[in-house]
Amino acid sequence: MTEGRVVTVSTIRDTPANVGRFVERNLTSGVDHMIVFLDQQQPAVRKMLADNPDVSVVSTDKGWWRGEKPKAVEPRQIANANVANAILATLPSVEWVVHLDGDEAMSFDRADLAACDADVVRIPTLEAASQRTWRGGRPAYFKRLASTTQLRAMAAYGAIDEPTLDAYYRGHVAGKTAIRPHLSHRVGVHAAYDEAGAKIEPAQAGDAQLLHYESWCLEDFVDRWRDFEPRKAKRSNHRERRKLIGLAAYSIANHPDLDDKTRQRYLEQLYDDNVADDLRALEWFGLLVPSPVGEPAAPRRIEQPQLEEMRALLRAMREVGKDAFAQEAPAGSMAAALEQAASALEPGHAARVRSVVERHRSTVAGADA
Amino acid sequence: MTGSHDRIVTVSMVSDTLPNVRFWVDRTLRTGVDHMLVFLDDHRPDVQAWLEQHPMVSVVHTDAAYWNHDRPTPLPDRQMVNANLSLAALAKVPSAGWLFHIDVDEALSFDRETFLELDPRAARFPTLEAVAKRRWRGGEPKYFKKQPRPEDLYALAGLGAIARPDLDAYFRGHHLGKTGVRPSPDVRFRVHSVYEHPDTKIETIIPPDMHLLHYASWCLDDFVDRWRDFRPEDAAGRPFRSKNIGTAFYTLRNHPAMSQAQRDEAVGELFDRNISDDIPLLRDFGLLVDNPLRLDQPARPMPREDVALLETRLKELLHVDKTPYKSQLLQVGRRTDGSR
Repeated sequence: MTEGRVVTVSTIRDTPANVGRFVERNLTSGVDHMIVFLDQQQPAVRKMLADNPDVSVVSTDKGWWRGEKPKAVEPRQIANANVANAILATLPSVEWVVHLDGDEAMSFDRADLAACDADVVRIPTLEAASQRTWRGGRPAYFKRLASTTQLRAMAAYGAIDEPTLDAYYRGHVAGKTAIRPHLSHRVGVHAAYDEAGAKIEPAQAGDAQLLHYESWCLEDFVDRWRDFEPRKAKRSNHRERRKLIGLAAYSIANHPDLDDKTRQRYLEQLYDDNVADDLRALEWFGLLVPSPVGEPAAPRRIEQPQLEEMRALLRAMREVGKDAFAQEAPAGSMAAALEQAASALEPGHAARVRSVVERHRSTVAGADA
Repeated sequence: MTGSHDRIVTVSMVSDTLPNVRFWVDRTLRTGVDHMLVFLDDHRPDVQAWLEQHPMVSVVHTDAAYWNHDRPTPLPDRQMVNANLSLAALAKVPSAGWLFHIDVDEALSFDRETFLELDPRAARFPTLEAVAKRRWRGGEPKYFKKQPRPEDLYALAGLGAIARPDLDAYFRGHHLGKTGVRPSPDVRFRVHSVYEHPDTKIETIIPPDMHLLHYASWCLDDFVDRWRDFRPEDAAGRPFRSKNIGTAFYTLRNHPAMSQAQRDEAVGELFDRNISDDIPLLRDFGLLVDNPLRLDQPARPMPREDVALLETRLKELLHVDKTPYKSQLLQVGRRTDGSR
């Protein structure tokens, strides 16, 4: 019996090299399977992922969105994550789904998650310390979240511009959540909600952490922002400070008047002045932790019939409108959408999916009675 | 009305020392400008006497009587009244072709012959700002800063060369340039544009390779000159950055505990930190142009009768009610950033 599988879901657009790192980091962390929605035509990435038995890849082209593609990336991420959640709710062997970005990786103990009986588990962020290069091609240190006192000390020392988390962390501080796949759970970017839209308070499960790798080295910083043109910046929900640094990197990386050597020099200066961390200061103020990445844990493969059924449902979802999976979609919409997708499945599989939908509706009706 | 309509005229409001005014007039009349109208904003008998004897300058002293004892407090308001009055005075002068409103730290950079061939109703010369450095050999800045693209501003801000990725942080002064117009009694100036009274847009071209050169604080001496008379108590209404620099300058220059040498050093440091441009950086990003100022276009004097007509007209307008010559501010929705 295959039980307790941990599956991640992500919507990404990145280079093959970065996606390769993303997949390797997670599939050696204790994650068992990854569902990856490609946010743009990425044939090289698609081919690489399609060859990996522990990854299920979906191209989210015009056909996927059925002519109603959300303009901003966050609603697309949320819709895809909820598609995965609904599908995984039909797989008995999958216990947890985690919505990750392409620069994030899990760090957790399988036993801690298995022992937890909550529906939602909190996964706080540890951000990779940033240096131009790291020996071995991996960050040796991460930064823990800072207290107000620590922020003030870092600012007074000059290691950060102001005593705020925004100045200290490059990325989000909200962390992520691991959620039991269920038709009455809605996956958000950082949290989980019930069908009425109320946030489900997460429990703690051991030392589970979300490792955030954004701009962990100079090369990653440049890669990330190289294509961040002003039109994209307008639509993005990055913090203002981060947006401006991104725009500066984009401008320098693409400036027609700079030769390669000068361009590199300015990118390095931009990185050193705005991104690189002061490791010594972080250590002095108790904020540096050695990388928690431990011995690789091989994925526990989802058994073949269930894996094929999951992929069949992903294919069937192409014919279903994705509005049902939006954060604000009405209660019952995911169940209805799943039922609609079932009509494209082979009869045995369709019956099992409908049975999950019926059980869910009975539970809801019983709760309402 | 027959006439050549080809003389380039400037109008300016001045409050400066005689050596500075002489330098500025002599230079302006070599750049392609043919005649200058100068409104003296304060009582400077030496400056007035020198300007009055100059054949290519017409001068007006704007005393209390000129303002009908109701002198507008904001400097731009007084400038606009003077400029608009000048339009009315020039409207019937046969040789008057163009009027530009410029400040004492500005110069027009253009080819007069090419400009006169264009023949639009109004023309805007965008700003090039002098690159600031403590000292420039030869008494002129070697480079001017071009208008940046948005991407340039992001890069410069990210690299710490400017405080924010916007034009106000990149340019020390205004960046919209100045507009010249065919003199007419119905036309009015705003600081950077023109309109037909009461509020009709005038089609304005932007001729290629023609600029308004803005020198503000182009070297340490000019910086000191500019802020020498600043008093913190007079700072109300000034832009934030200008207020801060002025106050810092005043404090350092008048510091009771510092020697003169220390004060000079501190002011130099203030200039380096707030005004000096990063020349290698600007060059790398393609934002520098060689100084385009042309001093090979000497003034073509207006016919004597035209000068006489102009000065008669100015005398007639000296004590009129100035209300009709005030500029209408652009409604908020129609303003471009930084404009008035």
